[in-house]
Amino acid sequence: MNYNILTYALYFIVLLFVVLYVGHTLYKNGRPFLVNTFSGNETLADAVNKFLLAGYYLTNIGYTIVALKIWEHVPSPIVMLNVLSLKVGAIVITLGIMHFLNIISLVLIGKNRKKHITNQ
Amino acid sequence: MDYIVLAYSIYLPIAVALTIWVARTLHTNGKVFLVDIFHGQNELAISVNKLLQVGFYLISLGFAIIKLEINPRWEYDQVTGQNFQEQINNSQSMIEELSYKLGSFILILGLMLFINLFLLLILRSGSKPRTQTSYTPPQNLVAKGV
Repeated sequence: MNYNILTYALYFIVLLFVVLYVGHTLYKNGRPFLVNTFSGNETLADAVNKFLLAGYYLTNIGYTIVALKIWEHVPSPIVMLNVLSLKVGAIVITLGIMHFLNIISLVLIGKNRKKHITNQ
Repeated sequence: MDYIVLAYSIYLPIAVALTIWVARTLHTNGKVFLVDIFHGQNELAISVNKLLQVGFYLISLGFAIIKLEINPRWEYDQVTGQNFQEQINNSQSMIEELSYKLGSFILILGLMLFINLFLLLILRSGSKPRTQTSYTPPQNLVAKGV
């Protein structure tokens, strides 16, 4: 049994699950923000939301697959666990940071809009 | 079994399927924007949408096919002090090579999708004011017989 291939399979399955779960959560909970941003135009907000979901899936899954390649030789299960935890952890942390940046930018956009409306 | 041929035969169907999925997403969701951009002229929006879809298919399938070739990299061996070509002769090196190819293709597809989204948003906001003001031709031109 080649441990490298087993590691790749585990890595890909875990990260696919995480990316799909996070994407679904963002899709469901980002919709009110988008409806708010497009001032109640729901069809447009849904279209933008679908666009964003597809783009999110493509960029994140693409990045996880690209990052698969840079790996050393894995001789034993213990090394496999070590390497796997490091890789998966790094990508999950990146996802978390992106998530918070998203929330911050949504809040900033909301504030900007409020200022704009009160100025008028 | 040649591993490079196997890698090609895995890469191409996945790339084609992904292209079709992304093009469908663009087609169904781009229609809302295009109707807005063309001020509610539905027929024009539908035909422009179709043209854009065909263009997207051509560009991304062409790109996928151009990037198909797998060239084993040259690496430097420090022990012998010579360059040697890395061989793709087991499933592990095939998976590594294939993942790099597919991943970069998927990243570029995602980038194209975002570029499309921003273009549509910019075009839509640029075409907005004309929906509110109705254009009335100057009357005196008709009277002058121009």
